[in-house]
Amino acid sequence: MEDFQIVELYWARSESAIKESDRKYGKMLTKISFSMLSSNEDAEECVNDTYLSAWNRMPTDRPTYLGAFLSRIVRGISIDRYRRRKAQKRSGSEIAIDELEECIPSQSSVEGELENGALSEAINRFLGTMDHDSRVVFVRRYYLTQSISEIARELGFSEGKVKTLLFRRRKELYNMLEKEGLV
Amino acid sequence: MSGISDEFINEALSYSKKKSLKPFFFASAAAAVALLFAIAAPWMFLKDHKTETMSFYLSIKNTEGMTVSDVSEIGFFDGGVKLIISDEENGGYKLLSLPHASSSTIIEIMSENHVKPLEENPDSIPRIWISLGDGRTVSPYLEYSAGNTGACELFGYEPEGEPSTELTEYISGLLS
Repeated sequence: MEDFQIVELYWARSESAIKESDRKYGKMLTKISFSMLSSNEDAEECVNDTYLSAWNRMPTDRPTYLGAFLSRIVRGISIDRYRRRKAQKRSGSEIAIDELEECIPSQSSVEGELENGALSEAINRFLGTMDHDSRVVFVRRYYLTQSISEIARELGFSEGKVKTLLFRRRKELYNMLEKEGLV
Repeated sequence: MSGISDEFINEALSYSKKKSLKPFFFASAAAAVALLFAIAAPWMFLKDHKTETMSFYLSIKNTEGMTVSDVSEIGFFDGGVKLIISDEENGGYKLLSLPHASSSTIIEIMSENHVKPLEENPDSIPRIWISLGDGRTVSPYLEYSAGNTGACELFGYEPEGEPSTELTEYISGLLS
């Protein structure tokens, strides 16, 4: 089923909207959540909460890309749960976040919150300048928190190529943010 | 990273969906290659296979050049095109100057000609880069792309293939 058809089911308040969402995106959402929480039970709960959130948001939301819309929700729910749980074990997403903190500052102050909009806008601009391969690798690593081996396997790249791409793009991102006064 | 565009997220998600169709084609291609190999195998062993596989490296290996011990001595912005070969045994690098080379020609050749299948163990080949003289570095063992272009650096890489015949001939011609 196409994304717009599933979105229509939400708008029509049809319960098959959840079933169709799960059929198309359930595995992907579970993977995203599991990579952050390292727990099947927690990931399952986060995915269920995602569908509930999507149900409550549509209408009035009408996302063009349903996968991106749902992944954004599950990511937010999983991050909240992770922070509440304060996991001891170093998960794959912690490693990804540590890598990215080389170039993106953490935003914990009120001033930081205001700068978040500027930072998001700058990152989107930066992503827009990248070649296709680099952008896909970058988003999969730092937004979807996939491991390097997983990215290499799914995209048909060597792990060396993935690591090299990420290393160079992080450096470029840092240089750009430094020039714009965001770090 | 929370605020990135839905379009970029969708692009990253969609990439894997396209690739998932490939296993069917890979299986068919693998069957065709196996059949071809069964027919061609006797002929392959008649050729000097190892020499052909490492032809680019062998063609430049004994060329006289300057040795430097550190990347800072290379001169990425000096306007001159040069080959840089890693010295695995002693550390440092050997620089082969290509005074008559054109960086735009090299980029054009690399863009229009893909690397050849790599049959030798990648670890047996020293790492080789081309400094284009304007800060950019590429490797003849990688497909040319913006993602495979370095800036004032000798980036780490895993060879994706042997340099194309066209690039090998161009560089060999400059060195002879």
